[in-house]
Amino acid sequence: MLERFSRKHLGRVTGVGYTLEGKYDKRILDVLADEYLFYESFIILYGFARQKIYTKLKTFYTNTPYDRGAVFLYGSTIAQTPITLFVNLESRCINRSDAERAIELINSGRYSLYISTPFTSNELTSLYRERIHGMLKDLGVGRELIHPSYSLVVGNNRLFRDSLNSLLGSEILVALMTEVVVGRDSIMIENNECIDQVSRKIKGFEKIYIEKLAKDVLDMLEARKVIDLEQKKSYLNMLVKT
Amino acid sequence: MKIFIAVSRRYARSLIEAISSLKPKPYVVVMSYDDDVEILARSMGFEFMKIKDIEKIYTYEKLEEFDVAIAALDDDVMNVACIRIAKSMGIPIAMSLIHNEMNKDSLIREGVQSILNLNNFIAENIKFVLMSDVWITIEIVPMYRIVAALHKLVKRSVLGLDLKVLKEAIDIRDVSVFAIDSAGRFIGEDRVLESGDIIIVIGTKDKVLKTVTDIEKIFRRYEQIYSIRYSDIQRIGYG
Repeated sequence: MLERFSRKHLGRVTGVGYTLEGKYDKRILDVLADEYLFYESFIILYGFARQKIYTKLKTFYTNTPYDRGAVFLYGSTIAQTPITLFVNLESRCINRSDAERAIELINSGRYSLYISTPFTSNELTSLYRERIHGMLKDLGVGRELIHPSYSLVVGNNRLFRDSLNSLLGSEILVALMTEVVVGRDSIMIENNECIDQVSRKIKGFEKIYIEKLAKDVLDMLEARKVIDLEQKKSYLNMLVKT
Repeated sequence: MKIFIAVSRRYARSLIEAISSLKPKPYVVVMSYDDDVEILARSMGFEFMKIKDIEKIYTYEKLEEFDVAIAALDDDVMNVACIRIAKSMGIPIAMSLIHNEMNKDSLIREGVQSILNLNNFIAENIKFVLMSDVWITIEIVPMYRIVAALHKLVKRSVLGLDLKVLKEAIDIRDVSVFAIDSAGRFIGEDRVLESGDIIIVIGTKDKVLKTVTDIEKIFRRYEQIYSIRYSDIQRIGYG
């Protein structure tokens, strides 16, 4: 059964695992290394290069450390398949069936983007809800995006290439862009109860990440004509005051 | 010669100027994301193609006819993807820039002949200016793995040591060893090394690293002798 399921996706999905500190959960690495599930898999380390990682998968290192957005840019650039799966290698919440289900949903053509398992901290989430999610609710887009980043993101490769990248990650921008351009029905967001905690190493940088994300969200919404320049300016002013 | 270049704004000027000085003048096609590269390329008489997506390179029909491909984009992964396309089209010589040394294996796996690491050059030069009494290794010609190892003597106690001793201890068939003083003049083999002198070793990477290890052994021996003499002086006195 498993093999029949896997072979159906052969040659259509690229797996990208990413990690900040070079740590990984062996279960997730085993899923990524499954050659029946993925055409090609590799790891992106977005911390400092001195934190090496030794696995059987190819590893790429980002130019700028702590830039999680580069993971999505790198992954979608190097992938040679129409669908790419991005998974946090340090996740404690994701298992094989989650990844298979996500691939199945995208591969069936029902959805263009699948997002699940929040990857955040209390500080990041509270800042995000205060500065970005409230604004999105006012504008009537991205209501289900209640966390700033997620551990499992699967989608059409084209979406990640066309989207902007933010320091914290691209999934929020990709989801908003898809919602605006394609429609809300083409996205599936699952806000599971199991939450992956971001590394302690980014503690203290939360404000920088969220402010950059807010600016990128506003840029994207303006480019897609959801808001005009005046609205963007007023939201930016609010962002500075808070 | 036909040269294919994928370049970002950051490296466009130096790369296009270098290519334009070649004789006889090669046939060059420049691809870039940035509009300002177009002006530069066309002013030098090169063809230009704007790309939005790296995979668009596949659509260029004449790609198989090129002799050399050069990838100088802002991200390592972009360079890897570009080289992959060039190699799949049968371009024999591929050169690429690298930004993070750790991505070198990925580029080698794609079949790159020459990897240029600008970051290594900048970082090692800064270290050489700011640090002394340590070995600094700078890549000179990556294609032939030629590197230079430099050592600025400031506080190391290598009294009485000259180049002749060093050259006797190492295999000079593998590397070239010489020294210059702080004014930039070459030091003869008989002159004793002083504070401010720079020892330079040039050769292929593995041979240079081996030579550096051998020279370090001699340095340690001299330092040991110096410390024994110094402790004797402290204990017995000059008399």
